[in-house]
Amino acid sequence: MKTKRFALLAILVLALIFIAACRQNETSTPEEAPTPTAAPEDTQTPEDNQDEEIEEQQPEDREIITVSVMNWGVANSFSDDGEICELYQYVIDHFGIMFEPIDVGWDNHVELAHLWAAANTLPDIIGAADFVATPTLSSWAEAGIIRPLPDNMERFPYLYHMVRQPSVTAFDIDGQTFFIPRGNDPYPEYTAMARGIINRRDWRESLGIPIPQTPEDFMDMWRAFMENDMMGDGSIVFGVLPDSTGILNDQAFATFGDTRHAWVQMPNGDMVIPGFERSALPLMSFWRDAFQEGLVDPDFITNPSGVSQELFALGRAGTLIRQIAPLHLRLVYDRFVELTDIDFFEAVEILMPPTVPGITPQFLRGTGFWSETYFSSRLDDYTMDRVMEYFNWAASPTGIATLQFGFEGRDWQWSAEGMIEQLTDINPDTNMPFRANAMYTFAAGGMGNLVMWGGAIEYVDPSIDPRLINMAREFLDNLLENYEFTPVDNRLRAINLDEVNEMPLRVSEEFVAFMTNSTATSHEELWEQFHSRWVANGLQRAYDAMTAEVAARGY
Amino acid sequence: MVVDSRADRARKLLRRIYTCRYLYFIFIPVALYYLVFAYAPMFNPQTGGILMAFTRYRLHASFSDLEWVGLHWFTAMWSRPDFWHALRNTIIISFGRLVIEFPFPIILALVLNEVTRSKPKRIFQTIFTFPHFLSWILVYSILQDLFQFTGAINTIRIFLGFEPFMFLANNYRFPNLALLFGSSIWRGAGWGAIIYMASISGIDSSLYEAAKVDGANRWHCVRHVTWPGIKSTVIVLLILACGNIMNGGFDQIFQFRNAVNRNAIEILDTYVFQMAFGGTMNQSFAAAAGLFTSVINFLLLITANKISKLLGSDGLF
Amino acid sequence: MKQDKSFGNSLANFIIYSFLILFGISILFPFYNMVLLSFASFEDSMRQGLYLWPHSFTFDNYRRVFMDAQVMSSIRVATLNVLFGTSLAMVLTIFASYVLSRKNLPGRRGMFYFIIFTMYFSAGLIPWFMVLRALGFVDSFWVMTVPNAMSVFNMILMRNYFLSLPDSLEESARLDGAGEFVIMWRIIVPLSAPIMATVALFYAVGFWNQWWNAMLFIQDVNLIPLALLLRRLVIDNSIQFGDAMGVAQLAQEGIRVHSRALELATVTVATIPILCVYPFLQKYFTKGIMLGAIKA
Repeated sequence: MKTKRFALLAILVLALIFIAACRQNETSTPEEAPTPTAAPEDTQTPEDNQDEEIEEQQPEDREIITVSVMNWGVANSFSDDGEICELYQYVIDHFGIMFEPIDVGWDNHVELAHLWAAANTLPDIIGAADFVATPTLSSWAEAGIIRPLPDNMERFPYLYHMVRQPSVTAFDIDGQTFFIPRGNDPYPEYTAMARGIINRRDWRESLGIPIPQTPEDFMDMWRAFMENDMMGDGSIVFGVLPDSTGILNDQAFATFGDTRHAWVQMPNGDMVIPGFERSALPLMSFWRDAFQEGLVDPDFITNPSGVSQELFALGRAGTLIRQIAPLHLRLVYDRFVELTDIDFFEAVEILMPPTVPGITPQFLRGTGFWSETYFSSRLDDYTMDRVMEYFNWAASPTGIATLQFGFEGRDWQWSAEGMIEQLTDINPDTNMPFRANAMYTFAAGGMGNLVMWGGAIEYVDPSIDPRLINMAREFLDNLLENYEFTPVDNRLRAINLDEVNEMPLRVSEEFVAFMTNSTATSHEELWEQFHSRWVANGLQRAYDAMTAEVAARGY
Repeated sequence: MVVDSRADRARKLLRRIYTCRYLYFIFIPVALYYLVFAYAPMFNPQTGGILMAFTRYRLHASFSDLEWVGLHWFTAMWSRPDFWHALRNTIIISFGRLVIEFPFPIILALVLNEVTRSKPKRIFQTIFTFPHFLSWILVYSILQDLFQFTGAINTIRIFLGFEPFMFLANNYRFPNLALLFGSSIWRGAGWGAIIYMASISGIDSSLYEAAKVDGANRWHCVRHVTWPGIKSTVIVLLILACGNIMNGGFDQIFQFRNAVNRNAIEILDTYVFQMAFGGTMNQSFAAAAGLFTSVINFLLLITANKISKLLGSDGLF
Repeated sequence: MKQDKSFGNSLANFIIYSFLILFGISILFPFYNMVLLSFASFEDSMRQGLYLWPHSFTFDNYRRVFMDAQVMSSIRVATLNVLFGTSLAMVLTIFASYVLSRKNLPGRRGMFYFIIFTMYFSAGLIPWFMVLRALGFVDSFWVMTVPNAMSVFNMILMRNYFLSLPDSLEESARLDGAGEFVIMWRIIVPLSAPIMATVALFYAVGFWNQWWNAMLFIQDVNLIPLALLLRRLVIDNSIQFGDAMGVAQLAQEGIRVHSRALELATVTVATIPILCVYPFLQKYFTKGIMLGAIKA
């Protein structure tokens, strides 16, 4: 009896579920918006403001093409009910392109890209990607599932300017480029990942300490920070807080020479990774001394990302080692505003790295991009050209600004000094003028950064306090004036060898392991121990393989 | 004594099969499920299926043009001393888990069973399952609040006159393992106790009555009624745990691991992760590493099963 | 059961309750902290350290969770997953456990190996994806339940329980002329309430928290389950505030929430339904049963 009732109930429930599930599929919204028929006169956009170099085709000459696009959060750029926002309408009118979003997240886009590649169902535009230095790029090109950029890229000047940089052509396969880099190209002199030493000037000056010049000066300053109860309530203060383990050996202290995890060619042709060479010992020793003396906040090793600026604002340490591009500086600035009453510009300075006697500084200009957009081989040349047209606009200063701030002339304009001036009302939630991502759905999701990061205009972005921009700019100009910047050879990143790929060692990790070693072993001896461990785990094999390969290619 | 001839035995077997024919019918959906979702992928032509560990994965390759690399991925692992170090850690940690973590849910279930009033029992039981729903990321952040250099525990240590200690980033085995096992117990004991409690409630309560009549006190009840009742569950789970030794707990260790404590807690899976995902997402390599651990795990499982049978229990199968 | 009032008994009680209370506090205290933090304002979430009493109180974190238009639909999807998936999983698991617990079945060993082999050896992500794709599971509601319908572990637990039931039950039923199906559903299953409840709970929680299959196969926003939605919410939010990289420009203007507080709010939202249902299942595995009476 009980069984029968239970069985009936189960069947009923299952039937209900089945009906519900089917109903869901029927009512799921179609992804295609109703086909627009707007002629140019119907658009609500203000005056056309295309740059002269872009060929302007009359929109009504061309049919609307639809391409599928994959990018972080791209689904947020399109409303669920098919409604087309003004900005999207503008794109449709001027470029005749409509998009079918394939949503992926930050966490899963790599997995999904690989799965879809295997299943041959990659979308037309593959926008969320960071494959360029991995075998994935060549395997995809070889399998023929992505297509190269069209010939005569000069037709698309802004793209052309980006893709003919040596940092991009280094990844060419058979002389063809297979991606559009996503980066901060308008300002190649300022590596977007510029790192610097952010310091509490108010603390330093209140203790009468001059600007530190040498590594010992820095350690003295940190000692002073720790011994003088800077917060006034006895709370723990450290001398220095690195933002992450990766920042220790990166460019913030490039006056110690090249200490990166990257391939460099020695004068005799050998390929080495500078971070594993003896030349990195001075910096490793510096950090070890600082850490063993207790000047470094030990929790930096386990802190999650993104808390260092909070801690710095709350007075956990006197020095913060972090990226200092305007957007990054703003993160620190925001924390000061939210958590303290301190005037950021009075209290905070960016220090030049210490001069180290006997060592040649080795500042490097970065690649300018760290993610790319690929294009499926399903796109024929005509469609590809149309897509490139849109990309070209989105890479132009006007295009970038439009996607960030709205329509030129109505929502923003160029000021006399070449900065962006916003014309919209103040958003009560943020106390700043409305941006495109609050006014137009299209800009609110992944379409906004498909072609260029918002960081591309960070030096003219009105939402960033100009004093912050100046801080960053001054510091970087200072560096450029005083030091040589060597461009990084991306061709070396493009080489993929088993011995290199299988080597699990990371310079930043070894730095941390070295600095936290509290035994009585001297720096030199400890380094020898570390080095023999590295060699036993494949370092020399990687070196040899790389050297042979580079020689074979004649670099 | 008359021994059955071969023909007789065969006939008896067929007879038994015929008697049990409905059982085979019932098993068909199950077999289908595994054939489709587990075995079919193994024969996938595009990737070489189960052979991926011995080839170099290439997109859209067909069986004929798979590049055979033999043991290349395996030797890439075996040639590194750090790999063997990680293997040693894995074994140490897994045995530690067996000895320390494994009994805890059992003890918890037995203790909870001693609570006779149902309301507190249920309340305790519900509370103990809370941590199971937290991801290791969250659990680790809780531990950070407590154990980081400027955390609560160190504040207390300073107050008591001790030096603060880097619980989360040190190279000593004992503090790291204590943290690992302790947090694992904290997180999993309550949920793990459920299965033992289910077993306990399956014990015929008339056995307790009988024991009481014979003059047993609480401890005797536990030893002679409760424990035998859950023994088979314990053995089954223990054998399964033996088949898990090579794993060591990736999710947890991945969170805990950093440059300083890696000597003490790096396990195979995290080490392989460093190798395979240090920028390349090498599918074949990951497959090879997975095959290595799976084979050893499987052998351990079978061994544990055999041993338990030798010791008189029914084992797992 | 009469309470024995001896000293040994009181001491045992004392130890037992102390142990349970201590363990309980060690769990409750961090959870108390976490719930408080999920109601904390953006600024307060940044000051690290343990909370003892609330500094501020805001619903912002929860509002952020429910602000997403998809939340209600994702809860519905998750519920349907649980109902359908658990039913399917229980049926398959009962079948497998019953068959493999019949001691006189020829080939039982091989069938068991057939299943347990899959627990240790698998073909990997890409082949599995291709097979499911070929079967039409892409963007389908069933992808979240059917491929995960059986857990070998749960099956082993259930089988073990079945094996512990006395053989006499089955024998007497057979003598009465009962077939396999009847024995399975009318005798074995009803007597196995504790393990049924346990395994059903394990499956249900698994399906409720399911996000991996959905992440790989589901594009349709109406089919996204709760766990995936919440996961995306937390990750997207932490990108905005933790890491500039130009993605910060995408920050949705409006409610600002700290990623840690938001994460705790999402965990609370995801877990409360389970904790509501759990007490109802508890009674199945806390009470003892009278096997003797049933036999009669």
